[in-house]
Formats: sequence, structure tokens, C-alpha cells
Amino acid sequence: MYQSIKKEWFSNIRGDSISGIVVALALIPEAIAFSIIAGVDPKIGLYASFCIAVVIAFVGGRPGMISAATGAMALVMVTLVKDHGLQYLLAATLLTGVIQIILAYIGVAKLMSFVARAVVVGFVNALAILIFMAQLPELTNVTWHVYALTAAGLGIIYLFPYVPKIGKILPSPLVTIVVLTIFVYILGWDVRNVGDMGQLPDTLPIFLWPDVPFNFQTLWIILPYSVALAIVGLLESFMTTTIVDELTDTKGDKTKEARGQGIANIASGCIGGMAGCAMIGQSIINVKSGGRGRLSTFLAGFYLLIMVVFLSDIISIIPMAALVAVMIMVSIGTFDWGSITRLRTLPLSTNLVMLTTVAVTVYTHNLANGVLSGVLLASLFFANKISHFMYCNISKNEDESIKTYQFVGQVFFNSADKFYETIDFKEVLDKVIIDVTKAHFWDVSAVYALDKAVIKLRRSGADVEVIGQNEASQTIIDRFGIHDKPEEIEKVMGGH
Amino acid sequence: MSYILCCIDGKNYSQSACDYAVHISNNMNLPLRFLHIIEHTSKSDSLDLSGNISLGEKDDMIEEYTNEESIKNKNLIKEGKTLLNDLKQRAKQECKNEITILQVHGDLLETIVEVENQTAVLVIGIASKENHKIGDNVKDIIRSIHKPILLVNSEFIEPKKLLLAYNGSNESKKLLNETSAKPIFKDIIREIVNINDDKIASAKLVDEAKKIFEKQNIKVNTSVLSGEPSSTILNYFEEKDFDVLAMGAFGNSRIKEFIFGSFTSKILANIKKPILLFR
Repeated sequence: MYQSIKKEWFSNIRGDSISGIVVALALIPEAIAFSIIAGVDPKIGLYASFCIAVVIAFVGGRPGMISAATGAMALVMVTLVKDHGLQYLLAATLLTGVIQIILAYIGVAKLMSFVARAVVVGFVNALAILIFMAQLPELTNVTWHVYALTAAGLGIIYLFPYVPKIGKILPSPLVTIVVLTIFVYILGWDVRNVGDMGQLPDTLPIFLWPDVPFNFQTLWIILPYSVALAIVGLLESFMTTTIVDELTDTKGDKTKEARGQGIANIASGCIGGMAGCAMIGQSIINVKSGGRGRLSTFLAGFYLLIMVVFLSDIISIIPMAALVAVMIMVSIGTFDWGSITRLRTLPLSTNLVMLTTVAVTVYTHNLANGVLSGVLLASLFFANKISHFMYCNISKNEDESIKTYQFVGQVFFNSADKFYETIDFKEVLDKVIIDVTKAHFWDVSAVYALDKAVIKLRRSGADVEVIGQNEASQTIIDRFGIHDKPEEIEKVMGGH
Repeated sequence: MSYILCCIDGKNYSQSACDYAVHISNNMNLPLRFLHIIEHTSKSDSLDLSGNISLGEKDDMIEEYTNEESIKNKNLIKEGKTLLNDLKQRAKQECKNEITILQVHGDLLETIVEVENQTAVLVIGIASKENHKIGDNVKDIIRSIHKPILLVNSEFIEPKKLLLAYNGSNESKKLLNETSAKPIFKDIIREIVNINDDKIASAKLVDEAKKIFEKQNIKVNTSVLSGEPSSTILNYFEEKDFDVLAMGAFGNSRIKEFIFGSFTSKILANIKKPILLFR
């Protein structure tokens, strides 16, 4: 206990303190931008980011990962805010936390194994595209000044790190924001700034209970949103956990993380913040800047609050174009570029799953829908692949009166028809032997297909003998336990 | 089957730790195992606070970290292997028991805890006496492992005289029972010392300790001292030319240690000869 606290909190104090600053600086524009996506005051996202980062530092399962207000969550809550207002969003945030804690205790982390790699990649790419698309309203119907500023901002972000000496010490998104803000201020350009987007925090957050009637009507309004938020939040958090695991060559605890996300969201809802989750882009920035421990997450949230409360006047004159440039960088960084270069080498089914996840998400603006369709499609493709693992050895005795069908392989809903059609019902025979000793009947469809075949053969006047039906049907019993033992697996799968 | 476990890192008295481990292995007639642990830091040395992420950043970072750590760990493995083989050769000359070497990836403490049950005595080389700051990781090992631990902080000399500090605490009682039933050192002059201003209580304690040893037919001397415990023991230890100090370690919780300081830590920081600890 003591050792793990020491290791997770204080084994990397210097790196964590510095990366905390870099992340806090990058969190501010993101929290503001995501608040705007959700349709609430920047204050809501900033308070949420502070609260979630600080709370998750203590209760999360993946040290070094950054959680705050996120685009994925903001996108889900848009219509709730539009139709019912902020107070319902806060109530939904609380409920999201509760659902996530329940899901953590019933073992949601294990369900992640159903989310195929292609779906994960699709999720990440869809998220990147949605973050980018959310910036477009800031870039349409505006004067050339905004385009110039955004282009200059992107230029600074990507070129500044090449400046010798200071390039690797000063965070380039910060440089962009400072330079563009000063530039606009001096020239007095009339472009939209953060202050125009709504209220900024000027005090420390206080405890706030959502001002909604506590009845079933409210519950029915917020429940669908809360469920979607809980699922999207956990998905992105688990995916980010995996990314941080890969980057740092260590292992996070997904169940603890799920519970932590729930606690953090409840805390956020209680101080008037929106729901959030782990952030892919920020977590990558944190690791890149040397952050490894819980301290980095805690400090990111802490610095963020300090800066926002004391610098709110300065933050309000930041031009939106600077924010847009930073957010375009975030969307580019979130995008899994490797997945595009791999499109040509990966099998078509994998690519289709990835692209479907992206397409459904971008179309519905809801990552939960995208993941659901991706998982479904991946499962169907898998079922289809497995159904190819069935063949039949056909033999006859000398006078051709007895025919033996020896089936080998997997018989289930998808291959049951193929199983049935293999049998030739036109032939006139005295006896048909169906040997299924080496076949595996996975479900009722398979058993039904066998019964149907036997009845049809008997009707046509042949004697039918089925060999090994008991062994073949063993797998249909939903007793997963026995399949863990090598000798049982050998017995069931012995045909191969 | 238990063995004598000697943990080495190549920096701190590895040769000397090897000699002591061989000595103990012969005394206890147990096999000897040398363990080298490759700890992964996963911290990049290059500082990059540019805070921007570009297309394919994650893949690039994994590539970069993999290259960096692969070189680092390859070197560590190579150095560790050379050291292990050298020590095995060195140990072979004297050791009458089987010698095995093992190299694993992982956290120092976690790895030692994993093999605790098979370990009879743990021997670790620690920083030299000139540079005398006992690392937190050594203290964590002492706190977590409930087996005798010999900390080697000086060149090997065949131990002739052992001083056993006894204060009646649970830790020191365990040490007595353990070392009297399965003596770690043979042919050694043992002296049990207690430091207490109350001479009667003190005499009772050392007598009690003496009886535990006498049950096993081991002869011990006893003495009673008074004064500030840590400095008194250290002075007595040097004055009478002892070779090894044995004592129970860290009887207090971490919080108490934080507030009052720890007797064990004081001794660890100042002693110039190997110390046998038990918790």
C-alpha cells in the first residue's frame, strides 16, 4: 500500500511537476472549446476539467493518464443542453457517475475484450473527425482575419518546436495563444474571442446540487443521455488506458479506472461541471512531457484552476481563432494515422469495421452508436469466418447402399444451413450414417439443422444413424467453466 | 527448497556480498542463488515540453521509446550477465553447495517479495560507507521481507565476533528464535547486549535471550549497557572489534519513524560493518 502510493505519486516528482504545467496549459483551450461544443458557458468545462483531473488523480486506475472535460462527452450532451438546459446536464452528470460505478462493480472492464481493435481505431478516428468538425462553425461566415489567424496559429504550433533551445522548453500551443492574443489586441481586430462565448470562472468552484425536480420524469429525460455518457466515457478511458500502457510499458487497472471515472463525474456534477473522461490527446502530451505518476494529473487540474481563476480577464480576450488552431492540432494528434497507412495491408473485413464505426459515429454524432455498430459488424464477420471451418467427408460402402457423412468443424447459426445442404436427399439409400463425433454444435440452430436432416432422410425411407451426437453437443451447454481446462478443451475440440 | 539469495546490481559491494553469501551458504548447507533484477524506468531522458502532437505522434513515440529502452536494457542485461557469471566463478572456489544464477525483469521489491518464501537468508550489497545514505528501496525491502537480511557495506572479512542487540521487542525475539534454531554463522563468538538504564530489567532480558540460545546448545556472552541506544551500540561495536551486528529492524510504524526518527535508520547510516536484520 505504502509502496504503491510512493511509487505512483512520488517516484517522478520533477517530471510530473513540469508535465502538469504543460498539460494544464493545453487543457484550458480544450475545456473552453468542449464547453462551446456542448453549448454551455466555458466555466462549466473548466470547473469540470479541474475537478475530474484532481479527483481521478486519487481514485483512477492508470497513473499518468489525464482526464477532464472531453469532446467525446460534449458531443453526446448537445441535445440535452439544447432541449432542457444546464441543470439537467448536471443531473445527468451525477447519474453518469453512478452508472459508471455500477458498471465497474459488475465487471465492465472485461467486456472491453468484445471491442475489436478495428473498432477502437474507428472510435479514435471518429473522435478526431468530430473534434475537427466542431471547429468549423468558427471558420464559416467569418472575415479573412480569422483564417489568417488560424493559419498562423497552426504554423506556430508545428514550427515553433524546431526553434533551437526554447523550442523544446516552451509549449507551442501556449506560444500560439500568447502571440495571437497580443497581436489581435494591439491591432484591435474585431474578431470573436473567448469572452464572447459565455461566462468564465472568477471564483473557486462551490458545491452545487442540480436544480431539477427529483421525479421519474426527470429520470426519463436524463437516463438515455447518462447511459450514453457512461458508455462513451468508459470506452475512451479504457482506450486511453491502453495507449498509456503501451507508451509507458506498464499496466493500468481498468476496473479501478471505471470506478474512478464514476467518482470523478459525481464530483464534477456536484460543483457545476459537465461529465468528462480520459483524454487521448492530453494523455499523450503528458507522457511526452515526462509525466508518469498521479502527481502529474493532480497538478494539471490544480494549475488549471489557479490559472483560470486568476487570469480570467486575460483568458477572455484570447481570440477564438487561436483556440481553433489548438483544437485542430488536438484532432490531428488524436487521429490514428497508422490506421490509414495500414488500410491496404489489412483484410477488407477489418477495414470495413473501422470505417463503419467512423461513418456511424460521424453521422449520428454519438460515439456509442459507432462503437455498437462496429462491435456488431466485427462479430458478424467473425461468425462468418468461423463458419468456413466446417467440411464433410462422404463415403459409401461397397454396394453403395450405405452412405456415411462425417462432419468436421463448427456448426452454429451461420453454418447450419450449409450443414443441412451438404446432405443429398435425392439419393436412394438403405441407410445413412451421420457422424458428428468431430463436429461441434454450438447452438440450437445447429441441433435443429441435424434434426431436420434426420427427419427428411427417414421420410424418404432410409434408416438413419447419428454417431457422436452427445460429444458434438457438449459445447451447446453454456458451461463456460469447463472450457478453461486443457483436457476438456481437448475433448471438445479434439477434431482438429 | 530454500536457498540463500544474493541480490546484486554491480554497483554496491557485489563481490563482498558474494563472499558473505558463500560463507552463509556453507554454514547453513543451503544452495546459493544470485539474482540480478533489470528495473524498467520507462522514463525518457530527452526533455520535450513542446506540448504539441502531430499526425502519428503515438506511433512515433512508441517507436522512439522502444529504441531507447531496448538499447538501455540490452546493456543492463549484458552487464548483469557478465557480473552473474563472474560471481558464480568466484563463488565456486569456496562454495560447497549448488550455485544458480537468475536474471529477471521487474521491480526490485516486487521481485524479492515474490521469492521470499524460498529464501532462507537474503544478502544485499548496499552503498559504501563513505557515501553513507541508505536508499529508500533498501528500507522498503527490510520492511517487506520477513526473513533474515544481511546488508553488506564493506569488504569481506571472515566474521569472528557477532554482537546481537536485544531489546525484547517482537522483531528481536523473532531474530533470536530464527538464528538460534538455524544459525547463520558458525564458529563465531556471540554476545547479546541490551541497553537500558534499568539494570535489573536489562539483566532479565539478556538472561532470557541467553536461555533461548542455550536451548540449542549455543554459548553466548551477555552484557548490559546504558546511554543513548544507537551511539552506545555503535561505540561498543567498534570498541570491541565486532564483525557483524544483528538486530530486529523497524519495530515502529512509518508514521512513528517519520516523527521520532528510527533507531534502525540511525544504525544503518553509521555502521561500518555488515548488519543482519530481521523484521
